[in-house]
Amino acid sequence: MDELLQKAAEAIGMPPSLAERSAQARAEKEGTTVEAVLREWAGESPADSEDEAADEAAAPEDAAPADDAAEQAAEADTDAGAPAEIDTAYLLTLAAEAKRMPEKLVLSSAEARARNAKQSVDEVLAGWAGVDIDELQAAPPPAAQAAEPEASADEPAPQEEEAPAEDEPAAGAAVATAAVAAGAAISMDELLDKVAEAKGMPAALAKRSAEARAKKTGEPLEAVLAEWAGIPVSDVVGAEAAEAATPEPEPEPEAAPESADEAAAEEEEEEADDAADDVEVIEAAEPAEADDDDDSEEEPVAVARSGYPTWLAAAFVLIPLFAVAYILIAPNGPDCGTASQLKVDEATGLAVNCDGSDYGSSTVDFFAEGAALYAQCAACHGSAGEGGAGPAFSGGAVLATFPAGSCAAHVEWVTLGTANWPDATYGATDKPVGGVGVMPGYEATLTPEQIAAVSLYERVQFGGQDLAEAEIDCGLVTAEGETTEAAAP
Amino acid sequence: MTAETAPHDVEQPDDASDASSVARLHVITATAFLILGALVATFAAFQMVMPDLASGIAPLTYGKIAPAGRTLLANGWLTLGLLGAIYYVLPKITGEGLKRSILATISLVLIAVGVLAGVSGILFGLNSGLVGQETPIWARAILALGYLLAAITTTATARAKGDRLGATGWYLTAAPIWLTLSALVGLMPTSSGVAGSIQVAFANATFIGLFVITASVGLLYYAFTTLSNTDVSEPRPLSALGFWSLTLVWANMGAVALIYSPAPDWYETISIAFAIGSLIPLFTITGDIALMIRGNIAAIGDRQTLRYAVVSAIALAAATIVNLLWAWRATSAVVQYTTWVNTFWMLVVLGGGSFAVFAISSIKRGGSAGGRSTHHFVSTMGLVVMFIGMAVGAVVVGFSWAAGSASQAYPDAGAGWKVTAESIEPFLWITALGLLLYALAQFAFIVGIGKKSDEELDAPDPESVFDLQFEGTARYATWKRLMWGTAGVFVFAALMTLVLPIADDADREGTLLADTARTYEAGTAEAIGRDLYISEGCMECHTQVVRPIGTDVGLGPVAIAGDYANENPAPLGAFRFGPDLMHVASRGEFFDKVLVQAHIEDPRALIAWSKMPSYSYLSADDIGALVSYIETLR
Repeated sequence: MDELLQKAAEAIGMPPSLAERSAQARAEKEGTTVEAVLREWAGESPADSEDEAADEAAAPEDAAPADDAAEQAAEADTDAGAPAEIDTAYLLTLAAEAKRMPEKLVLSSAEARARNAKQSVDEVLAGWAGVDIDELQAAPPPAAQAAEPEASADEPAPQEEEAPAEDEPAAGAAVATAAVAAGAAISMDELLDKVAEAKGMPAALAKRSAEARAKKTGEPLEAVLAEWAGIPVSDVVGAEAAEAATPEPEPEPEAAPESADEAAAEEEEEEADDAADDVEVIEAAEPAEADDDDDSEEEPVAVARSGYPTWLAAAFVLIPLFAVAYILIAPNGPDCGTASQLKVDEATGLAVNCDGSDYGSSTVDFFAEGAALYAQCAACHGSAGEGGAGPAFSGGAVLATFPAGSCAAHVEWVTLGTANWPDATYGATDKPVGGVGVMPGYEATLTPEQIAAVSLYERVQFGGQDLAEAEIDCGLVTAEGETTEAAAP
Repeated sequence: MTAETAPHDVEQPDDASDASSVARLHVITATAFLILGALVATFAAFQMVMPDLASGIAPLTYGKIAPAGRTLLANGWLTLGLLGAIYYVLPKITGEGLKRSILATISLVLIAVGVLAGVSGILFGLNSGLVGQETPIWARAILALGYLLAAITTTATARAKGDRLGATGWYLTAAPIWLTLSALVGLMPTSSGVAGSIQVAFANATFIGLFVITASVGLLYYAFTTLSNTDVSEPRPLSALGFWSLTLVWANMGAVALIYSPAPDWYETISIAFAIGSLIPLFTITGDIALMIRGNIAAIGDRQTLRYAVVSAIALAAATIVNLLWAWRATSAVVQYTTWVNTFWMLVVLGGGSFAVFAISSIKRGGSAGGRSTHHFVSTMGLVVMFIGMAVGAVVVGFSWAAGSASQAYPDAGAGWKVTAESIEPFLWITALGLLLYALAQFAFIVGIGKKSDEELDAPDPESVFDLQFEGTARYATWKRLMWGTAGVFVFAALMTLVLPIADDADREGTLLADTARTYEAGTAEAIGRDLYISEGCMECHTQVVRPIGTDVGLGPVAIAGDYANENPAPLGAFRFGPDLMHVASRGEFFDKVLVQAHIEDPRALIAWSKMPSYSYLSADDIGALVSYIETLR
């Protein structure tokens, strides 16, 4: 007997003491033996026991409604979309039902939780659905469970007595999720709808308020709702049952079998049977939700809260760092030239270019551009213009060949090179073309502005020509100090 | 309360009905200011595109109408509306009634009187010359007293559950205290020169940041959590981070209005750093609310209130971005002094703040109050249209300035302004139409208010809300810490953006310009002209500050602090719908005494595209004095 009790208790997911008590209640009601009930719960075929045979025969009329209920339950399961295999989608359906949240949200919350708790999504979902995933995988799929008539139709009552929703073994969970509790002439949902209508507030809020009130006044939840809905309390059949589910301290399971709770449970079972042909799918988590102190109600919220996106944490670090960096890098504002900042001329007080020239005048540093381009020339002419394969520029040599005012000739020479030069000589000193090495033409590789810039550099750096004069000489800047259109496209 | 609407007789404490009637009285009074203010502001917006509208009527000049509209909306509507909403929400949070509600009623009267007196002062020539604080100082003193009484009421109410206030409670407790402190700073006599501008900027920034934005976010917390029936019980670290970071960054935003001005550079840099930092509360609070109500969104039945709250949240987020772009020097070089300034104000006052009040006054009756969805839709459309007109217009104008100065097409402030005037014209029309939509929508709002009283008691049992709000406490969320933190944020901001920048008196010594030209001895024609410049509200369109950036090249020497040493208040200005006048008298052919006088009397006789109002109502002596003053702007 103890072994059987153990087995049955395990199968339906309650402590043996409670299972025994429930079994007694059922046996008494159905006129069968405790052992038969336990055996049935434990999943052993009644035919295994000879004792059972008589009982089976003796109670055929009992079996009929129960079978009805089972069919309904099976239908309910099918409606809920329970697939044959235990997969994430199925768990999601269960969890969404249990938590009364849209599946999409449940999934995202579960993913967040899974990440934080380093569990798999399936495990998290199973936890919320009150299902033990291992057992569920091992056990037959829910359809098979539902075929077990008693398990479906009658289990909810004891189940509700035992609030902790976590780690419910397979059978209990299947029962809960099969969501067949059937119940009252007016179900909780209908009642809530009525109240919501009467009060013009969302049902969820109405429930919340009613719970708070029920807790405060000690009235049953249903009574409060009924009062608000304007329905006589007596019409609400579930009232007493709900009272049992209110958070008043429950007697220890070991207490006398005929406790008030026991009576309530029995009554509810009866109601369940009475209403068997009017089975309603209600949320499995209903009893848990009715209990304000139950952890499971707050769980989804708590999970969502812990799911801070990690990029947000990164933002908390990066944004202040960026702000502090800004202060450290530019404590007195940006330097001239950045963020549209101009220089203020000390003499006139006017805003001017960073180099002190008038705003709007040349802002291109042709000399620097030419210096950079000269790297290509340095191989033959030397980085300091000292010459090599090509002629030297330093010491005014470059201005001897192309004197001040003849930058155009300088530019033309660099553009064409020895190969394309039309005459036999070049420059003011009539140097022979090809006299010292071969000068490549840069027409194809550099723009006219770049050639002018590098010529400018050679003339200023090595020839000593005045920069401003050379800029005009080379056609980069007009005499008025503005960048020429051609030079600054 | 009738038997039909309240089947359960909630034994509300007497204070509770007090609270709701005080709150309702506030919202109704505020709505009157809203309609009046929106109409006045709309009138001003149409004067921008039809400059001869009400031309020649002294109290209806744009320079007076514009600040009057802003005062009615910010101090009349929004202050009263937010306080009313706070009076409604705080008792729900504490589960007890409004304490000292008689003070709240007195405060309502004082604020209403202060606003009406102040607006009359502006219209009849008593403008203080402080942009954002235009009402006469005695009117602001009345307001400050009203704010103080309101703060006493809210603080006493919140204190009842001081250690167990949720995020909503922190915001709504601190906001009225900061409002009072901000108003008190605004009452302190301004110093001359740039120091005075820094002081005004601080008062404006704390009003917007520490009161309007703070209170609005608090109301949004309440709206979102109540609607979704979410448990906001424990003081969540993320909520606390959002609260303290939001208030700290917005308290220090004063210098945004003075970017590129002669104020100390480091002071401007601080505001940019805090503007960058304002992204933290944006992410934090958005994330906090989203995480809190996630999963409960489906439970929200009151879609109307939700829609109000969402628009409010979006407007506040947009304001954060606009503020950042305004503070950021590179962007500011283009958009500062354009309608960009108005965009920010519009988003905070007409968007975030107003819609938060709309949301709270729609809670629990959204579905049944007709006209609410119309009101929401038209108001939102008005906001969107205004945003397009102001923000896009601001960028277009900024680029027009930048292009003009880069090509040196505008040798002075007069020439080339035509380009600006023409490019902004369509956007001013769009703005005016948006404001008109917004103003008309508010008539639908007052219809909803009338219906509200019957259904007031459908609000949830305070008990249940109480249960939702407080379970558990955390050591960082005690009353004592909230009060110290509230004081601390304000003191820190005052130190960083008020005391230290004023103490930094580099370049404040009077320059030659200040001592020879910009000095006004009482009684002289120049001084009379300067008073007229202020009382007629010329700084609503004209700045007197040249910035060291491309868009201001051609306006003359860059302004330095010493230039304003002898002026109180310094007329830096915040809007540039007309040309800058800092050195207008030195700008070549543009300046001619006779022409200026003729231009003031009849602007469109000489310059057909001018948007300036006609000052033909001023006496010949007054116009002469005004011209004398303008002559000193060399």
